[in-house]
Amino acid sequence: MMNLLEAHDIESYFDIRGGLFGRIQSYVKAVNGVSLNVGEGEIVSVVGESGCGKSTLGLALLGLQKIRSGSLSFQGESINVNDFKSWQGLRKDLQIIFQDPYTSLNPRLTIYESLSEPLLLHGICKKSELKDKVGYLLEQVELKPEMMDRFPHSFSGGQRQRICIARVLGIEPKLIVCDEIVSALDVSVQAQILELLLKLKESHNLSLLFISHDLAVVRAISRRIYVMYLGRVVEEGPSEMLFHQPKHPYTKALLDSIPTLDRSRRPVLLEGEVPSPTNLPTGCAFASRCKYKSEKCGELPQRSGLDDQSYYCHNPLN
Amino acid sequence: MGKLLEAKNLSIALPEDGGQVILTEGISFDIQKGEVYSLVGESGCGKTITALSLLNVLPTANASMLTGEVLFNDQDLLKLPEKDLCKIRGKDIAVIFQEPSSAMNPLMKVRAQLEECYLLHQLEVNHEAIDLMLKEVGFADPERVLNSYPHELSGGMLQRVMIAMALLLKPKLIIADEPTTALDVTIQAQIMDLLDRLRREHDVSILLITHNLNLVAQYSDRVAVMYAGRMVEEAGVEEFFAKPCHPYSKGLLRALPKMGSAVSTLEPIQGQVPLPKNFVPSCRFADRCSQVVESQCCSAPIAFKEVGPQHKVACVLEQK
Amino acid sequence: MRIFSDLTQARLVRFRKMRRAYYSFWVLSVAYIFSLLATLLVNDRPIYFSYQGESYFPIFCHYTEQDFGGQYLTEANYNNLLQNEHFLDKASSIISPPIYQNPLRSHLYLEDAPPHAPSWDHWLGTDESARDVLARLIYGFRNCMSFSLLLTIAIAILGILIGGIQGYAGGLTDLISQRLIEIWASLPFLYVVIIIGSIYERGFFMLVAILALFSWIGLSYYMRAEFLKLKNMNYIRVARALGLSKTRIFFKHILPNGLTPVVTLLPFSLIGGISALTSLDFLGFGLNPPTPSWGELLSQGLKNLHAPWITVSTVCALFITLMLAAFIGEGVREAFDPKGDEK
Ligand SMILES: Nc1ncnc2c1ncn2[C@@H]1O[C@H](COP(=O)(O)OP(=O)(O)OP(=O)(O)O)[C@@H](O)[C@H]1O
Ligand code: SF4
Ligand code: SF4
Ligand SMILES: [Mg+2]
Repeated sequence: MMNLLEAHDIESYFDIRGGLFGRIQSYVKAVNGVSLNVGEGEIVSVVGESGCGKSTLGLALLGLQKIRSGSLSFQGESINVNDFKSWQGLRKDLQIIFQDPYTSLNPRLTIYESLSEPLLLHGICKKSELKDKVGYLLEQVELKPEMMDRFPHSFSGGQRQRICIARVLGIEPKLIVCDEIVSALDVSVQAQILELLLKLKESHNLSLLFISHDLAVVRAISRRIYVMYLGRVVEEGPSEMLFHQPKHPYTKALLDSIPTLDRSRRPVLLEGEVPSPTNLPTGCAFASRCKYKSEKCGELPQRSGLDDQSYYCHNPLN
Repeated sequence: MGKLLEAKNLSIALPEDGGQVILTEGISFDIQKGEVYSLVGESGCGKTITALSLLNVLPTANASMLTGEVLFNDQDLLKLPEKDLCKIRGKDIAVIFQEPSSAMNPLMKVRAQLEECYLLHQLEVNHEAIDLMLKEVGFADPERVLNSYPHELSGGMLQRVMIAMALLLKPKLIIADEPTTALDVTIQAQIMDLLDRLRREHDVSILLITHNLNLVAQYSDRVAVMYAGRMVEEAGVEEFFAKPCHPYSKGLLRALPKMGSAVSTLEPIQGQVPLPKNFVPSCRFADRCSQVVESQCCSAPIAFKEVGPQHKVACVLEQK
Repeated sequence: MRIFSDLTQARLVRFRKMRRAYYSFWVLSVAYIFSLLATLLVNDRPIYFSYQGESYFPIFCHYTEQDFGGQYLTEANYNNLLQNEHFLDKASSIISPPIYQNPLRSHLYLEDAPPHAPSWDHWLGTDESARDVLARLIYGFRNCMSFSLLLTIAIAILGILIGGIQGYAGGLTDLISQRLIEIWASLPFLYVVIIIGSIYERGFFMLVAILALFSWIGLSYYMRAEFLKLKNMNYIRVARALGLSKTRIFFKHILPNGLTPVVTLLPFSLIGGISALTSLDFLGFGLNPPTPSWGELLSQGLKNLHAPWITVSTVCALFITLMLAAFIGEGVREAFDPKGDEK
């Protein structure tokens, strides 16, 4: 399988400014050296704690967030991450869908206007065919074409999310980053949207980078998972293996804190201070909360493990 | 233990095109001191508006018609003048809203918004308490969070700020509307543990609105299931998960994603919650119910009846 | 295609339902349109007559005495002419304005010293220079409405542009301009007007420009806020991801959604403009005399307390205008931002 997107050692920081003239005082190290790849036709997920930099990573991979260092390549060609033009050329192939379906559509544009804008911009179809094309796209996401003249506020969350999917489908991208696209929706609607996404993935030969904090969703949809903690990937591997044999203590902690119907099995709490992303420790970032910590953990753990499951930990679980 | 809050026969209607649409009707329940009471159901069932109506803060307050009684500390909150209600809101009863990004002012730093909680109730700002509370909801660096504007925080972080804000004044009742949907499981566990501790140590009561039945099972004492503006089942948690009675409750339990299941094995309840304008007087679940008995289910309203100790159900199958 | 989005439509409907505001809007608009036609309606020369078979438009053209058989090359005196029988013989189809007054003409031939009390000729009396108060009120209304409207437009443009760019650009641009604005805002406005007024002539447009330079700041704060908020909406991010250009995003996706504060503030800035011009005129730093103005009338009234018709009529006019504008403002605000927002 060829790698569609390859990211190497991506860093993306936010400046913290202060004082009268807004000098940069420190950085929020939101993404702190992440490498990942997405194969053609693959669904890859990124999970991790709230605020660990998942969304920032997603935005950075699309050039919507400044990348400080690192290299990116798409379809084997490397992208000049600091050049606006080189991103502009990728707009058609790389797309994103966001969590909150309520703010993802311009409230002043009809669905038709929202959907036709990118089609015209990328010259996908002629003006005369726009109506048909928009109707066709709505059908693809199982909505009625008659709905195209309505405004976003008359749709439910699930419907809006479908519309957002239709909008990016229109320009036929190769890779879609889905940032928490179902977490604002009801469980039953979630399942419908996920099913739709899987179906479209097959029929349109899409690759998906699925960002989520919901392990059940991630597990249901993806083959390969990256687990992030404080701006870094701590473990990656096939979902079956991560869920059954987590190697990294944080992955294990994630699994242990999932609530179940069984009242005798309370979710396990992670104890200990979380370091601030403005002031990360030089060693393993998880050390302050890790039960397996040892002397060595003061040094940054290197990538280890087999080919498909790898982890960044000095004392991996077995 | 005693009753902290009692809602009696709450109904909410919205005027529309001359007539009115009934959003919820005949909702009655009570919350004991130090109890976690959960409301579950799909979206569109009226969970959020029921919770908001307790404080008379419905989004279209001036237009909607709210009837019934909400007794809190022997006063009917719905009859209380706005001025007195404001003293209770936020102080005795706090709400954690579902959408943090719209519930916070985008132009004010988090610090100012937290301090405002105190100022609104003419209390002295307690900076230590703010720091402590932010740590409690899992922030490593309260200082940075306080100095940030809402858009500089991630969705989950905002949600936690909202929670901290609600808990700051040590309310007696916390209305938590999907408090952890934007959070990952480790932080969810932390927040739920915090709420649980407040309940154990300070006798705080919690009205938990969620669609995550796992959370209900873990942390709640009693649970009520709402469907299309009505309560269809109410029971103690153990009883509810041991023998759910209403076909809708059973459906919800079956639809629960289990760890390790693929999407295709989920068993969603087919169909959708009807829109309020299509509400019928008889059982509203009938068109999605696999056990429907046309002659009985679709003619008259179904009574909400006791079927066991503290267990009420509105379904003909249980009322023979 | 629809001209207005649902949202705008709903707001218009809501505004129309607010009777008081809706009617105020019409009354004020109609009054202003009439005042724009004041040259035709309130004037002391005929709109049209034909003289010896030729058409004359005295309001718009300059004719001399000689044109009508007089001796001099001075401007024709139509008051005298209209009483002159020779003239009336040759002239026909004379159309006169309904209110035969000129705000600038002094009626010094009247008995007594001015100001004169209300009479049949001068319904609201005359001021201390024996000029008709009604005519001056009407022209004053036109001046101050035009002034305020222009001012409002200028404020809107400046406020939207500066606040919008600040909010959209964010970061350092925002920070630095915010400091500059704070300095700008602390300049004592009245002194600046006095100083500039003493150097240059205090013309109509000059005053609009100066006032505008000092009044856009409030609006720019709102716009900045609105843009900061909108910039972080997902649909803006989506637009960027789709590859739309920055200008297109600014004008198509952010601006239309960010105009709410402008529209709600407009009626109030109208009120502000009226009050500002009136007070400046009152203090004597406003429009150059003898331009008809309410502020100047008020200061005359104050000097001539024995002539209450000046004060009373001006205060009434001012009060009614401000009240109508306030009603409109209230209605607009209510229509745009009803308690419990539309979702
Ligand atoms: N505009 C910004 N300015 C400053 N800091 C920011 C900004 N946006 C995000 N951050 C910081 O970057 C870090 C990562 O945020 P990000 O949104 O990527 O988290 P996330 O993993 O998506 O979390 P969640 O699961 O809660 O959505 C956080 O510490 C956040 O405060
Ligand atoms: S490197 Fe050390 S501290 Fe970090 S996760 Fe592994 S054992 Fe724990
Ligand atoms: S009353 Fe009838 S239709 Fe309603 S839930 Fe019970 S069995 Fe189903
Ligand atoms: Mg995120």
